[in-house]
Amino acid sequence: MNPKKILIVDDEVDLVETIRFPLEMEGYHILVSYNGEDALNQARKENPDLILLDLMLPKLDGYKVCRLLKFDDRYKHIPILMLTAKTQEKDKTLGMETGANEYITKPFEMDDLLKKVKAYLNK
Amino acid sequence: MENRVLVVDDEKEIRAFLNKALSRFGGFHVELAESGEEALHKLEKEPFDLVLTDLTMPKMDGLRLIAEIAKLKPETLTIMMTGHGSIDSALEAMKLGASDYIMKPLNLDEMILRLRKVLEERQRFVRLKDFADQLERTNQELRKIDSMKSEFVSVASHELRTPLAAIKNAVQLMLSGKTGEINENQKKFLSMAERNINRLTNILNDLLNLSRIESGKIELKFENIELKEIIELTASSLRPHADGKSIQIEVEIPEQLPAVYGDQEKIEQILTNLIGNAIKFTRDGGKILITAKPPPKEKDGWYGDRVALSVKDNGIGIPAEHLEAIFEKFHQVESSLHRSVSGTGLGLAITKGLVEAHQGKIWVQSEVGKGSTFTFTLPVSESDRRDPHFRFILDKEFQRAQENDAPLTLFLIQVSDEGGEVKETVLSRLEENVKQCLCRKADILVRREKEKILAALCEANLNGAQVIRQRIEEGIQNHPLETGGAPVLIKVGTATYPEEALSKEELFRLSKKRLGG
Repeated sequence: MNPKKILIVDDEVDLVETIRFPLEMEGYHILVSYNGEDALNQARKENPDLILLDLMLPKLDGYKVCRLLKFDDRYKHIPILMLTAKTQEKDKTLGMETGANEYITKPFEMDDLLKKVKAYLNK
Repeated sequence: MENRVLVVDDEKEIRAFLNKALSRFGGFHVELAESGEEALHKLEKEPFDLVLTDLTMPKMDGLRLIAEIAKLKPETLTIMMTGHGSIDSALEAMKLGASDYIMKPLNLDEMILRLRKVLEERQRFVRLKDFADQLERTNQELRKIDSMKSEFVSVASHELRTPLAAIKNAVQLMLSGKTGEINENQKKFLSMAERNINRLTNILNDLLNLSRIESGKIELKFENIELKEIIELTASSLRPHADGKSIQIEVEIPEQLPAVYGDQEKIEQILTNLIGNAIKFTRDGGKILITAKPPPKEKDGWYGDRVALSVKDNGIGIPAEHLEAIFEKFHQVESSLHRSVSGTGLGLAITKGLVEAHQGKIWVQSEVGKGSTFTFTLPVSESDRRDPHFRFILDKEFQRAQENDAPLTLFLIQVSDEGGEVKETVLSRLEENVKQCLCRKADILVRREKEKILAALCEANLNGAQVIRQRIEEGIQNHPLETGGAPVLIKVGTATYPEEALSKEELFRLSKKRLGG
C-alpha cells in the first residue's frame, strides 16, 4: 500500500521542518507548501490524504484555501487540520465554518497532533 | 488683571457717575455706551468681562440687549439695572441670561460687591472648566494608550506563538528520542526547556486573556448552566493535582440550586483558577471545600438574584496588607512556603475579570495560618423570565430536529431606517430581544455592525424555524426599539440546511439576498 500523503502548509520554514520530521518517521509521505496559492494547486494536483493548514499565509489565506477545497466535491473529503497562532474564539468559529475538521492553536503538543493525524487517516 | 466693564445707559449723568465710581472705587476698567446698539458695536470690536446695562432705553432696551449678548457673546456676563417696581423685568433679564440685577437708586458699595462676586464666580467656573477640559483630554489620551496596549499585547502574543511552537516541537522531538538516543543529563535539561516553554505559553495566554477582558473584547457564550455538574467536573479534573499533595477536595452543593446564566467554559476557568490556587497555597494533607449558596429568599439581599460560590482552603492564608491588592495584575504574595510556586501573577486578575463579565462579584476572606475563602457570584438563569410555554415548544422542536438529523436554520434580522444612522445601541437592544427568543441550542452567530445585521443560528427543522421566526417578530413588535424618532424597519429572513448544503457564511449571504424581497 502506498504511504498516506500529508500536505503541510505554513510559511515558517523551521516550523514546517519540526512537523515534517516526526510525520516522516511515522512513514507518511510529506508535501509542503509555503503559501496559500501553492497549497491549493498542490492539493488539487496531488489529492493528499490530509492537510495541515496554517491560516496567516502569503498570497491566499488559510480560510480561503480551506473553503475552496471544502466546497469542491472533488476535495471536500480531505481532512483539514488548521494549525494557527490565531487564538480568538471568533477565528476558531470562522475556521470551523469554512469547513475545517480541527482547529489547533500554536504552540501545540506534538503527541496530540500525531494522534489526531493518525485518527483522521484511519477513518 | 483689570476686569473690563461696559456701562450702557442712555442718561449721561449716570454714565459719568458709574464711570468714576467703578474705576476709582472698584478698580475696573470702564467703557461707556449710550445705547444697546452702541454696546453691541463695542462688544463686536473688543472683549468685555461684564456689561452693566440700564433697562429702559430708546430703541433697544436692556432686555433685548441681554438676549443679544447671550446669543452673540455668551462668555460675557450681564447685569441689569432696574428702577424699583420693575422686579418682573429683572427676573425676565435673569431668564434671558443675566447673572444678576441691581435696583435703583444705586448703592455704590453694594454694586461693586455684586460685580466682584459675579466676576469671581465666573473666574472659578472658567478655571473649573479648563480643568475639566484638561481631564477629558487626558482621559482620551489614556484611553488611546490603553487600547494601543491591548492591541500590542494581542499582536505580540500572536507573533510569539509561531517561534514558540517551533522551539517546543524541536525540544519535544529530541525528548521523544526520535532524533536519536539522549542521555540523562540531556533529558534533564531538555525537560527543563520544555517546562519553561509551557510556562511562557501560559504567560502569553494569560496576557492575551487579560487584555481581552480589559478591552472588553472578551467573547462570552451565555447559556443556562447547572452548576453542580461543572463544579464536580472541575474538582475531579484537579484531584490528581491535589492527590500529589494529599489534599482533599470536597464539594457540597445544595440540591435546590437554581441554574445560572453564564459561559460554561469561563465558569470552569474561574473555578479552575480558584481551586488551583487553593491547592498551590495549601500544605500537604490540607483540605479544600467548594460550596454554593442559592440567592437569599428575601430579594433585598445585596447580591440579589445571584448564586454565591465559595472555594475555601485551610492553607497558608493571605496577610491582611495584601488582601486589597490580591486581584490586581502581577500581584504575588511572597511566602516562605512557596518560593517554588510559579504563576504568571495574572490568574486572579483574569478570574476577577471573568466574574465581572458575568455581572458578578468576587471577594476574599483570609487569615494567615488558617486559610482563605474566595467567594464569587453568578446571575441566576433568565429562564424564568422567558415565556415558559414558548420554551416548551422550542425545546420540543429542537429535540425533534435533533432526532431527525437536524437541519440548521439561520435567522437574519436587519435593522434599517430612513436615511438616518441606526445607532449601535439599537442593535444591542435588538440582540437582547432576540436572545430572549432563542433557546440554548441557538445562539447569536454574527453581529455585523456595519450592515446592521444580526444573525442567529438555530438547530431546528422547518416547523421549528417557523415558530422561532414568529416569536422573533412578535418579540420585536412587543418590545419596540426606541431610536429617537427615526422609524425603524426590521426584516427577518431565514435559510435552512440542508436545503442548500452550504457553510454558514454561504447561508448568511443567501439569507441576506432574501432579505431584499
